[in-house]
Amino acid sequence: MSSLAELERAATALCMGGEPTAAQLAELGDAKIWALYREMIQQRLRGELKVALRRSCDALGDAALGRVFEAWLRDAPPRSRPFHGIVEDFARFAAGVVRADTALPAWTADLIAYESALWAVGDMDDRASDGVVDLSFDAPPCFTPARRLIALAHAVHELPLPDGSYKKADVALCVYRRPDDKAARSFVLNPTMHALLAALDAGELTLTQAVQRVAKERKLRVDQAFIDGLCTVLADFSERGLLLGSKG
Amino acid sequence: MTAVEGIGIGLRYAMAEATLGRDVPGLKWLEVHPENYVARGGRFRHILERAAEKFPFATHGLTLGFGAAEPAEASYMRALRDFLHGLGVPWHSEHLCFSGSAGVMVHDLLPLPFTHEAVRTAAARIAEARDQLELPIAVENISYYATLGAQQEMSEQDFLLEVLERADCKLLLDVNNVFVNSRNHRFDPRAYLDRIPAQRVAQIHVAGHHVRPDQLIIDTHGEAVRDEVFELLDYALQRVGPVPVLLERDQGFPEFDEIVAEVARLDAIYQRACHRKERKERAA
Repeated sequence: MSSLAELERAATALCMGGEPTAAQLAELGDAKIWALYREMIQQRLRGELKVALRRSCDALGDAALGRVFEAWLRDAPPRSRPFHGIVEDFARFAAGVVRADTALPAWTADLIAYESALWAVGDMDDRASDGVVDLSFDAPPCFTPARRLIALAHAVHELPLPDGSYKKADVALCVYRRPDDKAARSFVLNPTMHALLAALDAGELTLTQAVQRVAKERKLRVDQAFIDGLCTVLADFSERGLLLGSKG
Repeated sequence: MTAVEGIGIGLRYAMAEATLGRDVPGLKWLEVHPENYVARGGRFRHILERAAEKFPFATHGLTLGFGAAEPAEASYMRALRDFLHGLGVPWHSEHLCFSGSAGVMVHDLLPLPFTHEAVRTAAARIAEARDQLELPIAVENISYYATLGAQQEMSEQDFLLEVLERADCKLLLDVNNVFVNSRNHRFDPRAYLDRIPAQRVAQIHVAGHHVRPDQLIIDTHGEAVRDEVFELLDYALQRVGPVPVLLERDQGFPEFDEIVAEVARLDAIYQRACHRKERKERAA
């Protein structure tokens, strides 16, 4: 008799796998019912993806979506404990697979990444874990946790072109949620601000240190115009509820 | 915070505005699925905070699966404990099932083999949960459409009773699941309820179900509660007394008036159980 762990492993593999063999089904017991469990589970997962990634699923079409979905369950099945987290599990896998598939439009992977970021940020906890104090250039800034930076090769955040595709363009987006909003939104970052936010995300740099690092990397002069521009952007971030102050 | 008693419904985003915006006669508490709220913000936290101003909560997990061969990750258990204590819940319930293996989550409630090994495992998981969550634990009997594995060492009910005994825990008695299983596996649901130790029942679930063309019944939580399930609830409350009853509705959300009517019908059954208890106490 199989152990509990073996049975659970076999049932999970069957539910996540492709069309099961008769032997697989027989190992678990009632073949018809275990096939039904598999069908119900996969339908539910696919249904959630179609709600969360509606545009991406439409763009892929049923056949390609079916292929990617099957590959996902086979090669990198969902590990997220909350059900809503399966969307990001899928998107991480699907973006890579779709990008490598030359039969699919090149912008599809970007659309998946963009929609997935909107979905995730839409319900992220926006409470800062550190204490927040007034903004200082000599302390690490504190941003809302409900945000994500994404770099895309197509402008999938804009309306599609007349043929339904998206303009090819390197674009960096900040996807975030305002404190009182129910859904995420995004705005375009210029390359300097993208680099600055990426540097701040990567380590506990003060605002001054991050500016100096980015200016050096990008060979920029930190002059009056730069400082004025930076202050305008920081004021904008603050107004959006993105920049909360400095970490206390 | 008032106690969890009487009739509750699940706090579902799709029904939240109506649930919190109306005065629903008989509605006394709400049930929360922690997986939908732990480490989540925005509209979900907002709804939870609004609900907490009006109702006490009980929590009901979806993914721990007390029959899992592998224990849940410690980080999740810590986050869950903090969440539950933040809500001030009197107990936490989960299903007697498994929901994946080796970190893979199927997001469904799969039946355990009815074996002694599975009893020992479930009892251990329940004890771990009680220790880690620092709360009383109630385990729910699930709907099952097939058994797992070629050989079973006991019936589903013996399995449940042995887990309750060995884990010394409470039961979240899902009356709809008893009904669904009784039809799918052909047994008398009242005889099943007769064997449930009344003192272990902490809470009851009722829900709607779907009858497929091949007559297999699926526990969908997506339809109105059938008359037979209301009747079975009445029977169950006659035996166990007035324990909190939850109306489960997770999909196929109707006009809210239909939910209000179901709550009223459940409350009438619950009130009868309260009166019976009062009479009994007076007589004693």
